[in-house]
Amino acid sequence: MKAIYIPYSAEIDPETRFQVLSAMDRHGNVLAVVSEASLESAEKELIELLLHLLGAEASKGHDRFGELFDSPLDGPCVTLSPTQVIPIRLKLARAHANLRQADMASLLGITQQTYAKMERPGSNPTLQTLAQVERALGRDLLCWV
Amino acid sequence: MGSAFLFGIDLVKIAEIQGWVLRERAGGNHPYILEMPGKWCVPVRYKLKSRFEVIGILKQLGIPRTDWPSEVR
Repeated sequence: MKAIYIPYSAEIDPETRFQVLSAMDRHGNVLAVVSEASLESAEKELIELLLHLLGAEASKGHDRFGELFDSPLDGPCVTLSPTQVIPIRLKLARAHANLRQADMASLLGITQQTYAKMERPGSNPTLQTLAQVERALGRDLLCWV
Repeated sequence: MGSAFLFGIDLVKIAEIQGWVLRERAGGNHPYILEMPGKWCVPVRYKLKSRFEVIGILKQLGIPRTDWPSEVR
């Protein structure tokens, strides 16, 4: 399954001794900055922040996945799992098709609320559901999985 | 959640003066999302926990140092 790998640079704030992580795209542009008391909690927060960022961009139809890495990196990085990324991919595909959530729900024969859940972080649609979305949009979506 | 060095909304106010637009408000675990035409969105957490985090975001937003909050200048 395809995960997304996002490198970060880490430094320690001398006043608080907090870990400060700056996530970057493949061009070295900063995507998000967080600081937390431990590296583990900073990485967790960074992933949350990146998922929100990518989701916000996706809802505008902006695909930033091309600027991220889809293979493991040598240096420090956070990993977005396929499960975490699929809701964002769905949002992006819908935005590209210029459809509202209600339109997608109608195409899939489900309620808007049910479809909305699929685009929320943490949703875990089945392969069968993804295949239905693929047919509805006429786009290859399962290649992400 | 821990204490804040600076609240995200304080950075949002500075960013808005520089032309950034607040797209999504913080709530729960959601960050503020700032946007500007021609630039990528910038996420800002509800609580910013260190000086370096604040400086990193100010640089990401392209805020001139003269407009930085007194806490980090």
